[in-house]
Amino acid sequence: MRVQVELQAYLDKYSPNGASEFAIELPEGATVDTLVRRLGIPDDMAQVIIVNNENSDFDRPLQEGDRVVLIPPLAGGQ
Amino acid sequence: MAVNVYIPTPFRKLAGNQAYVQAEGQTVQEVLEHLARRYPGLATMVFDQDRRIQAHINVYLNSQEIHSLQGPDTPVRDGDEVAVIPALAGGQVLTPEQVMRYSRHIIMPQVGPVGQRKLMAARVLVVGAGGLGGPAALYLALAGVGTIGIVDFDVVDLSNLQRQVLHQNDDVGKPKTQSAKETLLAYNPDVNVVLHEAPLTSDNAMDIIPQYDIVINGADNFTTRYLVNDACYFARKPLVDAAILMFDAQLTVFVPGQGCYRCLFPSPPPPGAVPNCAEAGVLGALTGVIGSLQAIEAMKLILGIGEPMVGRLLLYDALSGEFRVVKVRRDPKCPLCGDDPTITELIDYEGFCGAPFPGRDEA
Repeated sequence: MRVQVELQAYLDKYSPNGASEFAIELPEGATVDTLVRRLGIPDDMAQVIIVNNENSDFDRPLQEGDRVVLIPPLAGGQ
Repeated sequence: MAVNVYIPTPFRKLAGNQAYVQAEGQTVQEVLEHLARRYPGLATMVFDQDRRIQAHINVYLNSQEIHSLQGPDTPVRDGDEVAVIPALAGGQVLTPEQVMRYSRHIIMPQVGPVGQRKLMAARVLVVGAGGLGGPAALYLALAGVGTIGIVDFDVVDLSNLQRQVLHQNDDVGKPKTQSAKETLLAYNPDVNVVLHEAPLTSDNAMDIIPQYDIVINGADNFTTRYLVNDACYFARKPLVDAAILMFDAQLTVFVPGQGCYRCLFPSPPPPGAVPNCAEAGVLGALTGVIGSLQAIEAMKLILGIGEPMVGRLLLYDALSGEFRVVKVRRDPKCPLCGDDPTITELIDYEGFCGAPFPGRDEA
């Protein structure tokens, strides 16, 4: 299945093609966790997970056409 | 009918230290009588012996003085707001200069003279007098927010001036708190600026944060962010949180019991994994946009208007020009605000984040 992925902020360095938005092919039964591991994003980096505009988590099963946004924490304020 | 009653600062001790109290009744008089039964201390302040509202107490229904309506018999509806404002000496009544200064706010029915007095009675703590804290504190001061606390330990550096609007060329080398105070008072001498010139740590957070109504987070490191989150939760204070890096920004509001920073980001990224603004840079004007939004959210909370950004995370990507809002939620498994919390007091944040509080080593 194909899902649409958007990597926020500095997570775009894990994009397979350098773009912050891309489509990726995943096996049937894949979850958000499968996707995060496929992209090589370390644990504790992609912490807010939005699937189809809903707050979600790593266990969420993905389906063809899903849109996943991965949001890392930012710390800057100064 | 259930209405919200705004309790001004001088009366708050008589009403369980709450700014808003729910009360019921068909008319303003009935609402106030219901309130007086629940808080007997308030009864003598609001009513005379004949159960008439004391002459020096002004009562407003949705920002309109009740004598311009039907007096104490004015009917109320569910969700209305009643404000009880005593005409005390000491600046409770707006001076002609204040009416002029704040006229663009007062003219809006959502603010009005009652809202302006709420702003003037409010106490807001700004953590960090830098990129986010600067514009946030600036707009709060311009709006007449009565007490603005500033926590910072740093001195102004030339590299701050690309974005930090509280500091100017001549301030380089000065403590940021002092520079911030001078700037805020130059804009508006009407406000009280309280300085906390130290890094916020587990040792002082619970002394400082409980002195305020609302906290604005402009910290630049994860260690302080987890500390501010936990301390605000324990002190039951709303936290207007935001963070920036390069061209990206995030903003949300945490109200205790409705989700916290740990629900969003349960654990900090490994030390060094996430660049900070000093390493990766930040677009100066981005801090102005987001710090101003933090001021707006704080003012909405003070005024009790609109929909605060609770349960919603704003993501702004300056390069694409897109603002996006996603829904976020309280995590029942959150170690701080979840159903079965394991964090019940401030912890060792330097150990938790694997990074020291800034300033400790450099100071």
